[in-house]
Amino acid sequence: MHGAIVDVLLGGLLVLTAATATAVVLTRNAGRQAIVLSAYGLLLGLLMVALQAPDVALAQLTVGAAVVPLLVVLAISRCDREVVRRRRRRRRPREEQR
Amino acid sequence: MFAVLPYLAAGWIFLIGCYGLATSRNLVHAVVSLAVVQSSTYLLLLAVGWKRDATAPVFGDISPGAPVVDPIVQALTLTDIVVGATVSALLLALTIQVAKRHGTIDPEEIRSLEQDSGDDDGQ
Amino acid sequence: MTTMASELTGVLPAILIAGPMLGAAVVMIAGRVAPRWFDDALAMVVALGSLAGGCWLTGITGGGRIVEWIGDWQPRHGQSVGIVLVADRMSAGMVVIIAGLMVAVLTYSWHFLEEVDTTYHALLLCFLASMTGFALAGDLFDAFVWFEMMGVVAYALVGMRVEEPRSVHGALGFGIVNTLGASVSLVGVTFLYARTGELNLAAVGRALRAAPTDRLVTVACVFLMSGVLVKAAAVPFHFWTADAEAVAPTPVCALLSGAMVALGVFAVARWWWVVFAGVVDTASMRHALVVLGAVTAVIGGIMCFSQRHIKRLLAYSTVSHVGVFLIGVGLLNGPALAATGLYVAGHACAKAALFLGSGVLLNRFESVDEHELFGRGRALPGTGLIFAVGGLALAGLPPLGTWLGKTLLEEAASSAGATWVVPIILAASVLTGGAVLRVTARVFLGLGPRPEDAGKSRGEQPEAGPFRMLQIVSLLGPGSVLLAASVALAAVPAVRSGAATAAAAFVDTPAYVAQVLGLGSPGPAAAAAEPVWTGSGVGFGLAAAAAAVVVACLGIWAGSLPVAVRRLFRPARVVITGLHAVHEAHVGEYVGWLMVGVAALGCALVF
Repeated sequence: MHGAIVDVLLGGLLVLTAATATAVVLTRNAGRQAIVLSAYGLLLGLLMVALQAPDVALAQLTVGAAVVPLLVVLAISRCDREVVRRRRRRRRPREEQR
Repeated sequence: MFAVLPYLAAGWIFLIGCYGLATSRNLVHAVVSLAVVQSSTYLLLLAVGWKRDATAPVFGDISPGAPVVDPIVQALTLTDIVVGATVSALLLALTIQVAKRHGTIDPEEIRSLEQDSGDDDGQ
Repeated sequence: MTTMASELTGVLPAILIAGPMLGAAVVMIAGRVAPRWFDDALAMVVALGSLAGGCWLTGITGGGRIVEWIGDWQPRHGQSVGIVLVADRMSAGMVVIIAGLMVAVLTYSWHFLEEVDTTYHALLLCFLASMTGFALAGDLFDAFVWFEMMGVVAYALVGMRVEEPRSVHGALGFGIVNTLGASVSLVGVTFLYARTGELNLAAVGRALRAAPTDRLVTVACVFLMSGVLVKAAAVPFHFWTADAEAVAPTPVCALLSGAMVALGVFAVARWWWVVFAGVVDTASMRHALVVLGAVTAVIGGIMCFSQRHIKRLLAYSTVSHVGVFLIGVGLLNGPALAATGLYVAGHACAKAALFLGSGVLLNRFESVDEHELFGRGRALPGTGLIFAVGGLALAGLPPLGTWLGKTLLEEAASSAGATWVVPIILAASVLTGGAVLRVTARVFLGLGPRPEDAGKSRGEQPEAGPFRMLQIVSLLGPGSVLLAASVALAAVPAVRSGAATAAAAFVDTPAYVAQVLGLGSPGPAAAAAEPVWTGSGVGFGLAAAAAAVVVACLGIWAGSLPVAVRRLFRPARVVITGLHAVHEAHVGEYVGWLMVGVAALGCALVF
C-alpha cells in the first residue's frame, strides 16, 4: 500500500515535470519563460527529493529554481535595454534627414 | 511500465528542449531551452541510480546494510548541475553582448544583418 | 635519484593538468598588479613546461602506459572507485601537439594582441589544462567534465574580443552546439554506467565484453561518439566551425583548428578501442566512420575552395582534414591509426602556421578577404612564403609531415581493402591545398585578373597597431618554426617508428585494461612494424601538390577559359550554390543538423 502511494506520487511528479519542461520551451515570451523556468526548477527539485536525492535537490533548488532564472531575468532586462537603445540610435539619423 | 517512466520523461524533456532550440527566434529562449536539455540529463542520471523501496544514501540514521539508491550518480548530477549553470551564465553573458552589438537577439535578424554588412561567402 | 625520477614520472600526468591550472590562478591574481610582460612570461614558462613534460612522457611511455590514480586510490582485485589518468604514447603525443601550439600562440600573441588583459592568458592556460586533461582522462565522466571545460574556455576565448559584433554571435552558436554535443555525450555515459556500474574506461570495456551483446550499448556508443564528433567538426556537426573561427582572435583559431578538433577524433579512437571494440559490430562502425569521414572530407573541401574570407576558408579546410582523420581512425587498425597520428601532427603544424599567417594579413591590412587583398601582400614576402609552404603542406607535398601521414594512410587503406578512400583523401588535399595556393597567388603575387572589389575596405577590426621590426619576429617566427617542425616529422625516422609503437599500444585493448586495473603485468608490448614510405608515395605526393597548383590556377583563371570549357563546370557551380545555401543557417538549424547526424549515426550502427 505504501509503495503504491509512492509510485503514484512519483509518477505524478514525473508527468508534471515533463509537462512543465514543455511549457518552458513553448513559452516564447522570454520574460514569462523565466517564471516558468523557475517553476520547472522547483518541480525538478521536488522530483529529486522523491528520487531519494536530497542533496542534489538542494543544489537544484538554489541553482535551477533561483539562480539561473534570476540570471535569465537580468539578461532579458539588459538585452531589452540594449535593443531599445540600438533602435533609437538607428532611427535618429533618418529623422535628422527629414 | 512504471520503471521506464523516468526514462520516458527524461527522453521527452531532452527532445522538447532540442525542439525549442531548433525553432528558437530569441537567443535568451535558446539558452533556456539548452538548460532544459541539460536538465534532462539530471533526471536520466538519477533514474539510473534509483531503486524502488531504497532510501537516500545518507547513513546517519539508517543501518549500513539497508538498501539505498546509488550515490555515485547523485555526485555526477551535482557536478552536472554546476557545469550546466556555468554554461548558462556564460551563454547569457554572450547574449547580452550580442544584443549590445547587433541591437537584436533574433538569430534570423542577426544573420541578415551580417549578410548586409557584406559577409557573403560566395566567390 | 632514480626513485625520485620514477616518483616524478608517476605523478607527471597530474602535474601536466594542475600546473597550467595553477599558472592560470597565479596570472589572475598577480596580473591585477603585475605588468603585461609578467603574464606573458609566466604563461610561456608554463606552456614550455607542459611541452617538455609532454615530450618526456612521449619518450618514457614507449609501448606501455603511465597510470596514475589520483589520491592513490589504487584498484584492488581489479575494482576501484578512484579517478585515473592514463598516459600512453598517443595521448602524450596529443599533449605535445597542444603544448607546442600553445607556445607558438603565446609567442605570437605577444605582439599580435597588444591590448588584451590578464583574462586572455588565464583562459589560454585553462584551455591548455582542460585539453591536456581530456587527452589523459581514463574515466568517462572525467572526460565529460574536461570536455565541458574545454568548451566553456573556448567559448570565452572565441567571444573575447567583444568590441567586434560578429565575434560574440559566432561564440554563441559555437557554445550552444557544443554544449548540446556534451549533453548528448553525457547521455551515452549514463547508459554505459547503467549497464556496467562503472565509469572507468577500462572497467566499462571489461564489463561490456563480459556481458552478452546489448542494443542499449550500441545506442550509448552512438550518443558518445556523436558528442565528440561535434567537437571534431565532422559533417553534419561542423556548422559551428566556420562561424567561430571566422570571428575568433586568430591565435585562438590556431588552437581550435590544430588541437581541439583533433582531440574530438582522438576521443573517438580511444573510446572505440577501450570500450566498444568487440562489443559493437566492427564492420558497421568501420563503415559509419569511413563514410562519415569521406563525406566530411569532400564537403569541407568544396566549401573551403569556394570561400574568399581567408579565415573561413581555413576553417573549412580543417573540416575537410578532419574527414581524413576520421577515415584514418575509421579503418580501425593499427597502421592506419599510426598514419593518422602523424597526419594530425603534420596538419596541426601547417594549419596553425596558416592561421598565424592570416593574422598578419589582418594585422597589416585590417582584412582577410581574398579579393580585397589582391596584390597587396607583395609587401609581406615572409608571410607569403608561410602561406605557400602551408598550402603545399595541406596538399601533401613531400617532405612535409602531412605528406608522410597521408602516404602511410593511403597505404594502410589500400591494404585494408578500402582503396576507394584514396581518391577522397586526394580530393581533400588537392581542394584545400589548391584553395590556399590560390589565396597565395592572388594576395601575395597579384596573379590573375584583378577582382572587381579589390582594395576596398570591408571593416574587419585591426587586432594590433602598426608594424615594428621586433613584431615581425614574434609574428612570423612561430609559423616558420611550426613548418620546420612539420618537415622534421617526416625527416626523422624515430618519429615514424614511435608512431607505430604508439598505435600498436593504443589498439592493444587487453594490455590497456590489464595495466589500468592492475591485473598483472600486461606482457611485452606488441611489436609494430616500422612504417616505410615508398618511392611511389613520393611520386604520389608530388602529383597531389602539382594537382593542387593546377586547381589553384583554375580558381584564378576560370573566368578566362573558353566558354565550352566553362560550361563543364556548371554542375560544380550548382553543387557549390546548394552547399552555401545549406550553410547560410542560424543556430536553430545547426541544432537540427546535429539531430540529423545523431539519427544517421544511429541508423548506421543499430541496423
